[in-house]
Formats: sequence, C-alpha cells, structure tokens
Amino acid sequence: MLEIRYYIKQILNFPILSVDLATVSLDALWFDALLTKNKGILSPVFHQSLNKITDINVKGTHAILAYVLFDLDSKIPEYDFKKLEKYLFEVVPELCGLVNPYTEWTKDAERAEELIRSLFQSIDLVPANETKVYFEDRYRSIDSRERLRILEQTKKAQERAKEILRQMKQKEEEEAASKYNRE
Amino acid sequence: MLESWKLELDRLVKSRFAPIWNVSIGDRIEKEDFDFVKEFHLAFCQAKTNQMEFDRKAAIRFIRKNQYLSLFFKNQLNGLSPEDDFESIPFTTREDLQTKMTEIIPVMVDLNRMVINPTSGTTGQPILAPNHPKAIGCYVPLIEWTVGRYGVIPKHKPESTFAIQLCYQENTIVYATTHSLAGGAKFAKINLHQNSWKDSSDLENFIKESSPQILTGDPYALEAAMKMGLNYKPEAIHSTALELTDSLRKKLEQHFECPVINSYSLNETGPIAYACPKNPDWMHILPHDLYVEIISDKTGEVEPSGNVGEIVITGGRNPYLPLLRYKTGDRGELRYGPCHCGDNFPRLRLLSGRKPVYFTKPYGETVNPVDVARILRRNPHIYQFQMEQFTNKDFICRVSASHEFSKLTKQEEGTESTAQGNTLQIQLQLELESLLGFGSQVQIDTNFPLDGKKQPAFINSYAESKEKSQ
Repeated sequence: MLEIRYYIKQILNFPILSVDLATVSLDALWFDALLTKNKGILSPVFHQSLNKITDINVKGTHAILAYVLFDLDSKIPEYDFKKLEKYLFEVVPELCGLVNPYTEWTKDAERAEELIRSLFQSIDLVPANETKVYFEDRYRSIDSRERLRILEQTKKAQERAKEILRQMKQKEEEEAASKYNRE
Repeated sequence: MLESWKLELDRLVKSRFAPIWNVSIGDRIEKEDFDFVKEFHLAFCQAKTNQMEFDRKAAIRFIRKNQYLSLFFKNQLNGLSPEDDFESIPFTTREDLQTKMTEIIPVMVDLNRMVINPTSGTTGQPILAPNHPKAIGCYVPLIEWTVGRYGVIPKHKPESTFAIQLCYQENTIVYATTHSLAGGAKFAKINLHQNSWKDSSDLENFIKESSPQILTGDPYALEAAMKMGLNYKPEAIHSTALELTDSLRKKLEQHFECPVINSYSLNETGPIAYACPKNPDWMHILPHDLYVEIISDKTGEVEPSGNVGEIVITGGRNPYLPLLRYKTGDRGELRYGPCHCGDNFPRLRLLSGRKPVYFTKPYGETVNPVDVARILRRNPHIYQFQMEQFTNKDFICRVSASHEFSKLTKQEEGTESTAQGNTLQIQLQLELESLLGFGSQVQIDTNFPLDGKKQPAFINSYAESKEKSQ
C-alpha cells in the first residue's frame, strides 16, 4: 500500500471528460478494472449485474473507484471481492445520496479522502504509515454518514429537550406525588 | 386502591372537622415502582445493618453508569477518569440545574412519569427538579426508618394515619391520601391558616380524630402550631426545610411532649441526613446511595474531615436527576467513625443556613415567606429573588429577571403605583402588596445578580433591628 495522499491525488486527478456515463457499462468497466486482480478468470466478478444502475452520480462514483483500483502502480494488495461487491451495492448509493454530484469527490480533497477511506474500510485495507486505529479515527472525522448521524442526534436531542421543558412546565402546573415532608 | 383503604380515606376526607380540601393527590405508585421501592428499602436496611455507607468507590460506579446516558455527565467527564481524576470532575451547580436540565436527564428515560415537586422556596433561586414517583416513594422507608430510631413503629394499616404535614401559608395545597408503600396508612397535608378551615376549632379536632403517629413540617409551621396552642401529642415530630434552632427544638419538645427530629432534605436529592438521637447537633447521612463531600469555600478542593465547607452530593435514585458532585449551597462539616447511637454512617453538622424568616403585615399579622416565594417562583420572568422587609410596611423585592421584565419603560401617568418600572414589574408589585396587606409598599429592584449562589431569599431587617433595640 502507498500513503493515503497518493490515492486522494488519484481521485482529484480523475479524468472526468474521458468517461461517457450515459453509455458506459458498469459490468464491463469493473470486469476490465479487476481482470488482473481476478487472475484472468473471465467469469463475472460480481453475483449481480451493475448495469441496472441508472443514477448518474452512482455511475460516476463507480467510474472513479474502478479507476483507482485498476491502477497498477497503486500497490493495492489482494482483497475480498465479496466485500467490494457489498460496498458497491450498499455503501456507494448511500454515500452518493449525501455527496453529489459525483464530481464533488474530485473537487474537494476531504471528500476524495472520504471516498477512498470508505472503500478501504470496506475491503479491510489500511494505507501505508497508518495504524488501524488512526485510520478509523480519521475516517470517522470525515465520514458524511457519521456527521449526518450526529446532526440527526442533535436534532433529536433538541426536540427531546423541548419536550422535556414542555413536560416540566406542564407538570408544574399539575400536582406532584404525595410525600411526607417538605423541602 | 383497595376497598378497605378507600373506606378509611373517605372517612378521613369526609370528617366533619376536615379542612377545605383543594386538591386530590395520590402517591402515583404503580406495581413496578412498588417493587423498586421495596428493593431500595431492602438494600437500605442491609447497608444500615452492615454499616456500608455510599463511599467514593460506590460514587465512581454511579458516575460510570451515567457517563454514557447523560450528556451532561459525558461533557463534565470529558478527558477525565472518574477514578483517577475524581476531584477534578467539575461541580454541578444550581445554575446547571436551571439551565442544563435537558442535558442532565439521561437519554431513554420515559418522560411520562415525571412529576415536579415544588420547593418551599426557602432559597431565592427556585429549581424545578423533575422527579419520579418511585424516587419520591423512597421517602416512605427513609422517613419511617428515621422516626423508628426515635421509637416510632409505623403502623402499616389503612386505619392508621402515619403523618400529617403542617403548613402555615396564605395559600397552599391541602389534601389527604393513602400511601401504598405504608400498607395504606393515611397521610394528610393541612394548612394551619384560618382560611383553610370551616371553623377555627376544627383544626385540633381534625388532628385528634385522625390521630397521626407523627407530625411533619418546617420549623415555621411547627412553631405556629405551638403558638396556637395545638393540644396534640404525636409520637414524634419530623422537621425539615428550614434550620431548626436548639431553642425552638426544645420548646417544641416541651410543648408536644415528644422527640423533635431535625432532618436535612432537598428537593434535588430527597432526604440526606437526620439528627443523631444521642447528639442532635449532628446528623447522620441517611440513605445508602448518596456520597457527600465537603468542599473548601476558598480553593474548591475536598476538605478533610472536621473542616467546614460547602456540601457536595453525588448519587441518588431519581432517574431524571442523577447528581454529579452537586453543590448544594449549604455548608457544614463531616465526620467519620463510630457513633454511640449505633449508626456509623458519616455525621454531618449543618452550619446555620436557612433560618426561618417572618414578614409582618402593616397591622401585625404574620406572612409566611413561602407565599412570597410562590408568587415569585411562578413568575416566568424571574430567575432569582430576594425579599426584604425594612420597615413595618416597606419591602424591597430584588430580582434577577428577563430583559423584558427588567427594562424600564416610561411610567404611564395617572397610575398610583410607586414602581418605576414597566407593566410586568407593576403587576408583580401589586400582587405582592395584595399578599403583604393593606398599606404595604413593595419596591422592585432588578439589579440582583444571577450568580448561582444560594442567597438568603428572605430578610427581615425591620424585625432584626427591633430585636436588637429590645
């Protein structure tokens, strides 16, 4: 593995204009990208077709990821294709729901880092000169899903606080439970 | 409620001597609350038998339990180990309870069971402390155990009235109920004020007819009952909320011919300590789930045994209000070691703090400051207050209040009010003057600091100067 900055730079330099997302076949794209990793086996890498994906942002994100994983100089070791498949089908659509258009990955270094770290986290890879703990910690700090969770929690907390205050006010108007002494 | 309980309660409520009841309240205990209190009682008795007070280790366990449930705990403990950095954990202040209650209340608690017991208003900074019926239910075994130390054996049956709480206010709630945690024994809260009775002779007749085992109340109400010449001999008197002076305790003991037990109890914590039967100048920590520290006024550090400082409390059983080094605003000293009375829980000596203060109307009738507190507490604009009487008819009400309340507006011509403030101030002034009687004059001062300190809420410099000149 190389250091994370290498992969970030790859994403930032992704040749957007070289891809026609309207016509690209994701199955073909991934077949080509993973051919060398798949030791030349010609059967499909994934158990389900990616060609059903029509969302342009998801397709664009697939193109970026395939570009990074195909790069022979990137020194990416062996990884589990099942985990990659799970990532592409489950995590990528969720990420694209939060970060779009897909070109955002290529325009903002932090977003580029988020994308590559999300991929590496899913396929259990850690870039050079990083510990697993540091990797996770850094990923959490830039993960859009985590931020959304915090925001949702904050919103819930605020709603809960309002509810508590409302109930306290109402309860004071009502009467309390009987007790023997006073304070 | 069981039929037999209801019959007995009805008999008390419908007594021809009964006061004018104005609310209907029960203990709100449900099956799971009942079980909770029984478990609490069992653990409490075991702790007392084995002399296992709630020490720092227990407090650390309590803190760890709440660290991931209460956002406030999490923030206060940020970067600190409850064990290694205990004395660096920031204090919880009364102001925190006013402004951060929503963070303190642990997540996932069911808010529907919340009850708010108003304080009697002996400090000028009212705190709405949310509570749970099961935590309030724990008062029953704690108070029963306390009076038990003075020889009272509570009768757990519906025919018995365990306690009558005396109040002496212009206005307060008056009710009767049964306590399911005391086997259906009855309890009533009554007001000694003449407003509360159909006939002036009913009060004594009602108490005698109900025949409560104990009387409870604050020293103000207990003294009023004595001065009225209430002729009833309970098995004990349980005094809370205000400082009980030695001289008043002795007078009450003479008059009512029973032990008078001084207790220290806060709305935020529930019962904390009770007077040692052998040496009433000292109180024993009562429950087995409160950790008490004494903190230096100067340095904020923990004081060793025998030094005076502020009383700080961790723990408790109120699911809505776990306490993390809560500064009570009261001062005292703590001592450890065995006691002749047999209770070896730490002993607390409270320093003079909440002395009872009386106001008088221009024509001599006494006014209970709690009535003043009730008006000020319910005013949404007022955060902290202090009321002082400085002549037979002049009062000053110092408040820390909202901007809306504090800002001065031009006084409309033609109003006879002496207030130099806006409509909100004038409304408050009129309400207070109505309580303090014809001819009274109340000034409103909006420069009272909101500093979270427990200031005396009531001062009667007029009465003090009269006492000195006599």
